Amino acid sequence: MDYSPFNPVIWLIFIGFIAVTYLTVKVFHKKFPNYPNEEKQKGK
Amino acid sequence: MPANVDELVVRVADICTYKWDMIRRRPLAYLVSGFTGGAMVVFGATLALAVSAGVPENLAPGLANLLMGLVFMFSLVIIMVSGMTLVTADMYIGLIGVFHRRINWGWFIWGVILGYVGNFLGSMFFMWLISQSASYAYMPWLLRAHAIGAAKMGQTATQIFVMGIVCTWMLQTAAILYVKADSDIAKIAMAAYGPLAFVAGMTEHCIANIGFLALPLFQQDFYLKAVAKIPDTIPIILHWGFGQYGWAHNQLYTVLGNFIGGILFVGIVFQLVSHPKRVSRLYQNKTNNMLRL
Repeated sequence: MDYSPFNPVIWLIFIGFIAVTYLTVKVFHKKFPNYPNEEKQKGK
Repeated sequence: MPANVDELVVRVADICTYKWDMIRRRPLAYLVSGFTGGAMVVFGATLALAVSAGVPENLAPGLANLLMGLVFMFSLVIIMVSGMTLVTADMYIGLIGVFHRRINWGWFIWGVILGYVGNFLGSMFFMWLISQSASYAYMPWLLRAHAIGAAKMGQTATQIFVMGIVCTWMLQTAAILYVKADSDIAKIAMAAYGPLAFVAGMTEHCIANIGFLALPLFQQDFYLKAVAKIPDTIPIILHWGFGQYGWAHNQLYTVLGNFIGGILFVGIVFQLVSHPKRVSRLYQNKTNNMLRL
């Protein structure tokens, strides 16, 4: 496992990292739906 | 005055627009910029090898690392000042661009792949050129290159992965502070810190390792001939594949670690620390959404 390209722990951490990154962006965009042009759109 | 963190993420998003505009409209130019960036990284690796060979460990155990870091540190300076591409920097730049809706996930992934291919070609080609010279095919450079290769490729997957995370955490912190700084001197100091920290700190950078670990493989025949003359020495055979002492083994886990260090601990952190309302206000007065590095 230490020298295999399929180390399950590392691949699980990496997949978890992708999920966390994707969800962080998703939640951020949900919380700020017009980001970064929020004020401009409100003014229109 | 350097930019505050709100201005900083807007600047990074503007750099993202510039870079991904090149990826969309002139992919070949981006590939060439990646090739040059990859070569520039291993300019530093070559210098690091040149100054660290033959430094006795009993003099000071960290001295060789310090010397390597001191000459390596200008790699990022020349990449940033010239505006060339380093894929590990584009990872955090692209992610902030995704937050700012400058690019979508598909373009982000395509940009990272294209940047990696360009960097790979540049790093590998430059080190192949070096291997064709006689300068590094003699002692003590031959032994030093092999010792670095064996030490890096001999580590376990977890050891490489962890040092990959640490590497881009330090390197991309320096890269984002380069964007934050305003004066030329401050920019150079910030850019220099990154490679100094990651090399002296013995971490793993995928683009540096492409060439750095390829050199002892290109020169392995010279190495085996040289150690055959040294009594009681059992040579470690390096190889290109997966498994212990394999180039691909080191590269795979370094890439995975580098992704996490730059994106999770730099890109996401700086974006979440910035104030969304204040960033939106900055956008109100913006007329240009593109910033060239």
